[in-house]
Amino acid sequence: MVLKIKNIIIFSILLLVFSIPVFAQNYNEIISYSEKVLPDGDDALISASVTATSNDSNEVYVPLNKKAKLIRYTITPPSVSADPEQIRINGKNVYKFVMSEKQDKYQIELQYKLPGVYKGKKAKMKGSHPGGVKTVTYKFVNNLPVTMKSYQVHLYIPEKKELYHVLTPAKKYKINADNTGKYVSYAVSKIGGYGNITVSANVYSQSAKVKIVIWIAIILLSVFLLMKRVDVIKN
Amino acid sequence: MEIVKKKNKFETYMYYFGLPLALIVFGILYTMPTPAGISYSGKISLAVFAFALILWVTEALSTYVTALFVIVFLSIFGGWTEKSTLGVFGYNVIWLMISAFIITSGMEKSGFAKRLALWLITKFGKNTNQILLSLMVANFLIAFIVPSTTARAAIMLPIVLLIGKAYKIHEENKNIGKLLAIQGLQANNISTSAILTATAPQILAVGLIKDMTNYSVSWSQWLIASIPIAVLTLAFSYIVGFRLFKPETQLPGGEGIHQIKEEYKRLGKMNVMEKKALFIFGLTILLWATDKWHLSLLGFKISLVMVAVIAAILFFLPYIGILSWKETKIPWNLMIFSAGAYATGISLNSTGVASWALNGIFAKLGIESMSMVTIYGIVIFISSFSHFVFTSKTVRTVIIIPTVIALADTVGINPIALALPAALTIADTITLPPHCKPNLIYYSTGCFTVFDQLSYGVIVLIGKWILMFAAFFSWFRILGIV
Repeated sequence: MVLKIKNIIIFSILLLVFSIPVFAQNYNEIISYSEKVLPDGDDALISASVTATSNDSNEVYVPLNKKAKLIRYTITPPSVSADPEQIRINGKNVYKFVMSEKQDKYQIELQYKLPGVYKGKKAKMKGSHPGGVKTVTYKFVNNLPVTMKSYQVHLYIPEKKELYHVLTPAKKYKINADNTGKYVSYAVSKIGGYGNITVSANVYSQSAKVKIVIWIAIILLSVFLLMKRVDVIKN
Repeated sequence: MEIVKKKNKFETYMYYFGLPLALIVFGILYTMPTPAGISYSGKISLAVFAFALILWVTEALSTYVTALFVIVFLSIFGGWTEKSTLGVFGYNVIWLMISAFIITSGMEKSGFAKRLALWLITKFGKNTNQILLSLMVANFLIAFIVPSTTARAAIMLPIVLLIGKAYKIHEENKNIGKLLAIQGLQANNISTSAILTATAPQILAVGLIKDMTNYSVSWSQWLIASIPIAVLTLAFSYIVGFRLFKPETQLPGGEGIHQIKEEYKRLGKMNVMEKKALFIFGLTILLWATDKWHLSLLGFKISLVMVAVIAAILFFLPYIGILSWKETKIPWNLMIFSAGAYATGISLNSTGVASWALNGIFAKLGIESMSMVTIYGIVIFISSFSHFVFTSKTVRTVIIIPTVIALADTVGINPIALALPAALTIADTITLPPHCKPNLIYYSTGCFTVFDQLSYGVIVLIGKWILMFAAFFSWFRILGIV
């Protein structure tokens, strides 16, 4: 009896181990994934642009955060498939798109909402520092067991807030701005299966009161010094 | 107030307006919207840097007070974390300076440094000009054997201080003090540009050129290309120095060379204390010069700063050493200045302000549409003066060399024609104390002001830029670089 159970367990493990690569082979290829994470109150409005090749079953799987709410999507060239289906594979959330052709290249534009990204957390800062700094973190997880060939993210800073500094990644990020606002840009050449990328930044809003106090102090100090040291010029 | 009275009219006005100007500039930068390419921390670093630079140049506040302001402002306003800012005091440059002052104190107490300085003066120094020239030559020659600008500054510091003492540079001959120190740091940096192995970032530059263009620059090719420029720049620096700071006397200390010779004779034979000091100093130089063979010879590597700390230990050690803590003269005000100055520089680098400024300059100039000569002139100027925003030679190399090679590729120029001349300017860090460690070490002598160094340095670098231009039409063409 014990031997039977042992054999069943070994068989199950072997089945699982060998089934994963087979299953992986059925996945589509994601050539590039770029997304813009924009603030929408405390939530994030994310516009993702995915270039992918459909698999032999005409399917394209796109990784998706389980809290994400899809708002709209477009596919180029237009596909004849039905609406995308949110499914779970290996416990991970993905969107399944069924395309008109197999092994064909498609451009998928997604717009979805991710709650709570811009709610932020009080920044962990030690020693002296300005008050009211919050940490905003966006984490992208490649829910697929296949490598994503390139990934880029633009994490936008909320309006009326300053980008205090970038926490993650430590290097190779860029700070830039466009009509929408200021953003942190980060790109990687690949993300492995089930791998993830985190972009985290401290945001801050400079207090108008502090600015006024500083300018009053500057003017008073400057006038005081010019008066106090006037004998230097006279002499 | 006593100090103010010694200033000339221009310096007095700078002193008078310096602090209000620094405060207003800080206020403007603090309240302005943050530029697109940098973070709020970067903006604050820039504001603190501008504030400190104005105060250091105008001398409206003591340099160490400004440095303390830097440390406070960077932390409170968010330019850099408090931990990082305060941590600068633990950087190797500060430890190196502390150790160098212990070594100097030991050399001074033993009398060996005095003997060396007096020997130098009596042997080569018929007059002030010759003494300064011999120091410049010494700086150039040791660049071949000691592969670190900082180590060479630490070697030369005791000699400079002792010669300065003979000249009474703090009481009577202040211009000689300025020449001794500023020419010392200039000779250190300019000599470095002549020898590929004189500083590690130059080796890195050659590596980058090899990796990105597949063109190998050998040690001798570098030497042949750079030596005329380095020697002529040294000569220019020597001449400019005498124009800016005319020596008060040609005879040491106003007492005459004969008295110096007599004093040297009176020293007699070397005593035990001097021999001990010579042994420790000699061992220090030996360890610095044999840096790359440490692992194979000793089984472990001893860094530049640890060699200096070992030397300091030896000076304090019972039986071997000759020094007690009370006899050690460490100028802590200068250590604080160095820490503050270094903090501003490093915060500019770590917040990305330095690379943002450089990229912005290249983009604004629209350099791609210009002629080869104009591009060459602009690239050399920017790479030479970029040390204003990059305190680290390594960072500057890593940013400038690939940028220049990419630029050359874009406009269809041979990358070597821009990258190698740009690499020859990596060691042009002579304008402000925080720009490199040797500057801080020489600044610690207290012989010159930030404005002295800035004005002298800028003139010499413009001279070097003109020489680089001349090389473009002559020497570099003969060598086939351009």
